[in-house]
Amino acid sequence: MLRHILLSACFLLCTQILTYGQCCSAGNPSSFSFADINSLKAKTLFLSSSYKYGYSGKYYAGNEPEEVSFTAPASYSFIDLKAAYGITKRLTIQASSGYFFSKEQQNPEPYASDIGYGLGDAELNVRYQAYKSVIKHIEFTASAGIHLPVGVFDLEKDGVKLPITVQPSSGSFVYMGGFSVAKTFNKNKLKLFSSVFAEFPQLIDSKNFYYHYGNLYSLSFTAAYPVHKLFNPALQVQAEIREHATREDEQVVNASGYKVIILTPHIESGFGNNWSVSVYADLPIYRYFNGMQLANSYKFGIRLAKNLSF
Amino acid sequence: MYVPDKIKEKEILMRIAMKRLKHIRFSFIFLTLFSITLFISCNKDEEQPVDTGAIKILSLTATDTVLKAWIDTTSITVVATGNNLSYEWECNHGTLHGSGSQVQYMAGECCVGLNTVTCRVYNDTSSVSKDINIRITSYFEQ
Repeated sequence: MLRHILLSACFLLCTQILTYGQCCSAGNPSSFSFADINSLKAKTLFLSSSYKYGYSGKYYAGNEPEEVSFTAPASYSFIDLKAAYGITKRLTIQASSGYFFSKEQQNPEPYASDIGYGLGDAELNVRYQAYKSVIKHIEFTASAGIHLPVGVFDLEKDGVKLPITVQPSSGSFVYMGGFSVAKTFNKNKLKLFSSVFAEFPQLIDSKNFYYHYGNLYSLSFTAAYPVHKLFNPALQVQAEIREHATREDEQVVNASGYKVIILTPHIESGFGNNWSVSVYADLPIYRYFNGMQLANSYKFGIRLAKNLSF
Repeated sequence: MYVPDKIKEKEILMRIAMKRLKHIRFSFIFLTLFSITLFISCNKDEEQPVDTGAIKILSLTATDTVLKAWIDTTSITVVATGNNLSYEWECNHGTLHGSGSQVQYMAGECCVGLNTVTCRVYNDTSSVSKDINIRITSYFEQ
């Protein structure tokens, strides 16, 4: 049962800590996929595949929706493959990659939408269980990871290169690090998690593109309470801050960076021989965007996972 | 029916071995798919022809070079000489629409600043590029 709670919360954290502003966003939707907060048992392999969909329909200036004279929503449809392996009881490694079925930015009339598709970036991370007390039912885990820009970054249509916002790859390395704590109460019934993570994107310096996304900082609290093998709910509150981006000559991009708070309900159901299926949805409860940016309206995801012990 | 302990033990060991084999096969398939994904994603840059002087860009012009974010668009036209010409367009910030010797350019609030649109004109033997700068001003500017 404890494993179920752990995996449930792991998935919750790894699937929805997403880049929230759509305008000028890039890369895989789950930039924090390394954020699974607990180490796996030794010689355990955790395989999963998730489908994610996100839609952004409204522009925000500050914390208010901005009425604009045009409509230009954006959306993405993405599937990933993820494998995590417990090398020892303290050390876990994880690798993932994915494919964009579509990454679409609609444009004001009469212009057609920009639609990107193809392989996204790869992500690698390690997690180390720094401390665990069976008596106090508490554990601390540190993690570090890297985002490898191996995805499609030169997609074009009729000889015209598509904007970076719809290219499947982020175009640069991204370093990530985090720390988390998990505490169990009430004879393993209630599990609380808290985690803090940071993402440090590197400069995109290609032939015709020079851009540096701002750092991302995230703090989350999660509560998981398994009712039944088929009904394992969890709820997460997450605060996320993205700093301003910079472009040529260190110019600050005013319409970049944000502060958001997101509420995420999540349900997992276990079945068969260590299989599970999970669903989640994001409900933004506070949004503040610098300048004017397209803000995420909703996101949801579904994941199929299998746990193997050797 | 009595089953000797050694046979029981062998059966158990066999079952464990089969289970492990099944897991290893499952993992192998998954990791192979993952590796293929990474391998395919490592694209090689295409070799492009160099400038041999066979193509000349006579002009690269825009109807407007200062645009308001999200509101304004500009038409950019290239005039070039040479045989069997093809055109490739790229910009560092913003969006291009169209194809051939004329495209439309626009940009959002996140692209405020001086942006560069690059046109490459090429054929089988030669290639030449030219840039034009377009300034994007804020949607909020009066």
